[in-house]
Amino acid sequence: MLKMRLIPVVLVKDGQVVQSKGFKRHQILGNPSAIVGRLSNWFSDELIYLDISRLTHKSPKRADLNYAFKSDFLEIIQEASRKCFMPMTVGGGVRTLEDIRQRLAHGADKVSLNTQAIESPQILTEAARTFGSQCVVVSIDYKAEAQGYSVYSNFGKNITKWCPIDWAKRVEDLGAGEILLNSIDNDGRGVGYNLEVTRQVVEAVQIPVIAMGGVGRWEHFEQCIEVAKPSGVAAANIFQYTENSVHHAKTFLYDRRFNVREPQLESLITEGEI
Amino acid sequence: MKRIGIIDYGAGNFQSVFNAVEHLGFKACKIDANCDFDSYSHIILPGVGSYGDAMKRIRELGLQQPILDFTLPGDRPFLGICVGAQILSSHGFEFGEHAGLNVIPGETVLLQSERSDLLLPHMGWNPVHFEGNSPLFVGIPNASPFYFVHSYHVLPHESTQVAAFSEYFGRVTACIQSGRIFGVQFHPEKSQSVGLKLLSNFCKL
Repeated sequence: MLKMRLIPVVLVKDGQVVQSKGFKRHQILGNPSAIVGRLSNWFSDELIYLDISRLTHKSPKRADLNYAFKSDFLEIIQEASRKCFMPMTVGGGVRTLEDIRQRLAHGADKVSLNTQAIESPQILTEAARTFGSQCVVVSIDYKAEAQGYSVYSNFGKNITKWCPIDWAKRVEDLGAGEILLNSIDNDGRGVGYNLEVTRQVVEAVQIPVIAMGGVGRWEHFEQCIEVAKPSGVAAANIFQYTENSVHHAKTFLYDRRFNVREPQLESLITEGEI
Repeated sequence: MKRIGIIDYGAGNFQSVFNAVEHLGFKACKIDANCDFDSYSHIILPGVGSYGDAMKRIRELGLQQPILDFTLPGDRPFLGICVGAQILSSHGFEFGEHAGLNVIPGETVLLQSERSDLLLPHMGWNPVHFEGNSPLFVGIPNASPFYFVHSYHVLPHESTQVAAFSEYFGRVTACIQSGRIFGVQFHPEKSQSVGLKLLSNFCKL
């Protein structure tokens, strides 16, 4: 049977990897190449790269940084694809079919859409027809309101008329092949996933749902897998704090008999074999 | 000197396959119908998308005859990946019936299950069980998970040509083999360590 996927998310803003809290505060973590290298070990099942640079924001070229500054997000994913032989989802600023084509050409296997899907939903159908629904991911950002939950677009800035469950069903009908479901309230707070909304969305659709937003301890993965039964569990910040974090998380789940890939310690190909 | 020709016919995963072969330290070459296929020791046919589209491009780009000429003697290593493996079969039934390359006789059909709520595509990491002793799987533990993304699979007429299978609410063909011609339904170029090992095994044949 298919394994539960454990997915590190890399947030890139103006060419730098950042940490996010509540979708508002972003702390710079550093050079994408080094971080990509660290996460592209054999323990992640997949990687998600989200470019959260605002379109109006110019990349500051900082001379005090002692590595080659890469402001071009496409270059970052191309470099990542040369190092990590695993599925890669790329999102952020995807507006047109040409944007999708470019990202796929630079090494992405799937492309995630958010704001554009809300503003012109037919892009999902066109993208599914052109590239196959397996590479069309819709990321859904949602927040608690006085009454229920609302989906937000534009990096959590604009409220929409949708609740996460209805929007999830709608994007499935339109051709999306996967949903990345992110709680704005829990983002960066380390309080665990929003289990209730995640469970409801998983039950409402027939496509894979990846849970995101709020992991602070490995137990939060466990809770979510047991309660909400998503196809994958994703997290950003927690994987940046400690060395070998993805390996630790994977081992934690494997030891508790979850259906995850066995954490492998080394490559099957030994140095100098070829 | 081994030269690994990787056919570029607009399939989405060409670059990933190329990167993986190069990463392993082999001489990877991008090839099309203008190349002399005989000058390559090994050929890889990548693929994503649908059966009919892939065959249409193969024909339009003049690649059908060079592939058949390369595979006919059966002594030169050839590897099809995903749709590149499916079109090695005789016919495919995705969006209508399409003729394939007929290198490994059989049909490419939709995954079947008694469950009505079967999620397709079959996407993610799934253990692959080896049958027989295919040289592709040397040094790889049996039941290692590989990465799959597909809704169709190959059912070869000769059931002994199934070299590996997986389980997804039923049996899924994971690898077909006829002599030194192989087709893998999963994506070795996206399957990390085990995938790279498989590609390395192939390139060393």
